[in-house]
This record gives sequence, structure tokens and C-alpha cells, in this order.
Amino acid sequence: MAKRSYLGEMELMVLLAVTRLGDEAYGVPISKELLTLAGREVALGSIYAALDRLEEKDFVSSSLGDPTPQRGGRAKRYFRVTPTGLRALKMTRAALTNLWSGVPVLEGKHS
Amino acid sequence: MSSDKSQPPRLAIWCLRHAAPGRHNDALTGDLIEQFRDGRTHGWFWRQVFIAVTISILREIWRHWPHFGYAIVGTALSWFFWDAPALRRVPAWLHWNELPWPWSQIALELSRPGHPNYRQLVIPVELVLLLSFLTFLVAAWLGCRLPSQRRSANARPAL
Repeated sequence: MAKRSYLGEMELMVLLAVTRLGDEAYGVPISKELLTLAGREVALGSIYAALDRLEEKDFVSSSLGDPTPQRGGRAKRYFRVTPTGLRALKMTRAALTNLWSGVPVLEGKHS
Repeated sequence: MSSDKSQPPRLAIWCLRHAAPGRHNDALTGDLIEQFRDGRTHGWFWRQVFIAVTISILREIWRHWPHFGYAIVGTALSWFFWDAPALRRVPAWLHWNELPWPWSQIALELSRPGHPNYRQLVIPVELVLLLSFLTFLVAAWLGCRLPSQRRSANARPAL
């Protein structure tokens, strides 16, 4: 099956959160970022499913941190946006900006 | 289950480990434990596990959709050819000897002819459908797995 190269809504939000967080992007901060900035409480399972798809598309890469007792001895998995992911973000922004512009209802020109 | 409030439910972690396998399973479990120890409730933990397991199952079905498609079509066709007139009036319960093979054989082998309920053993039709579906699913899984194993065995260099 051919891989989709465009971003779904959840993928876009998660990729933006990963980009914003930089070196500190793992599951918990990503979910907090989505809650704070997008006002959405997203289940961690959904975030990891989106990250899994983004990794398959080569939009993010991941690396393991050190295990900590606070996490029951489990390591954090840190995600970083790749150049391909950054390119996809820019393309999505350009496409969305084009779609948003010139809509009278959204610009308040229409009642 | 532990009553310690800092300990997440063990059964939930077990479910997560076994029902939602994946390369990020450990990281996800660690994140959930970290959040739980940060003040989340048992209910929250269980809800997160339920969502993760559901997503994992749906992803597995999506990844292996040819297997599931084969199982669904196979079950439907076997029912149609097995006893087409019965489809007009599908009984709610079936006797074990009406099960499709190999389940009828298994039921026969496991049953004891001397037992008083030997002749009365009946099975709900939903279970029969499920068993048929599982048979086709396993057949599809084996059909896809065995050739790839043979290929990898052939590709292994001789020592």
C-alpha cells in the first residue's frame, strides 16, 4: 500500500508539538502541549499512534532516553522532527493558508 | 490489585503489554505511569489503556486487512455452501455435530459418549460463526507466514 505523504489533523498537531518542544519532545510534554495550545485532551495512545505513522513516513525520528524509577523503570522515547517532516509542515501550512484566504465568511465580509 | 495509590493498576499494565504490542509500548507505559504518579486516577489510567488497546487492535486489523477480508468472505461462503437452505431460517442453537470441520472433530474428540449430556450439547450459532471466522483467520495468517519463513530460510547462507 502506498504511504500517504500528506498530514492528517492529528498528525499535524502532534508534529507541530514535537517541533515546538525541540529536544524535550516525548509523550507527556506532547500531550500537555496539545492541551495547553490546542485545548484538546488527547489520549496518549492516540498520540503514540500518530507518532508511529509520522515515523513510518519519516517525518520524525526517535531515540531512547534513560529509564527512571518515576516511570516504573521505563525509558522515555524522545522524538525529533526530520528535514522531511519540516518540509511537510511547510507544505501543509502553505496549502492551508491558500485555502483560508479569500473565504468571505471567515474574513467577516459575509453575515 | 495493589491498594497503594502511587502504584498504577497491575492488571491494566498487563493488558497494555499483551494487548497493545508495538515498538512504543514501553515508552507509552512509562508515560502513563509518570502521569499517574503525577496525580491521575485509576479510572484515568484504565481509560488510557482501553483507548491504547482499541487503537492497537484497529491498527492490526488495518495492517492485516487481507487476512480479515479472507476470513470474513471465507466464513460467509462456507455458511452459504454448507447449508444454504438453512440461511432462510438460521437456528439459534446448533448441535455440535453440525459444526464446520475441524470444530466438529474437536467437539467429538473432547466429548465423552457415556456422559448424560452427550446428546444435548448445543452451541449458540454466534459461537459457530466466530469459530468459523477464527479458522479462516488462522488459515490466512499461516498462508502468509509460512511462505515468508521458507523464503527467509532459503536466503540464510549455509554455514
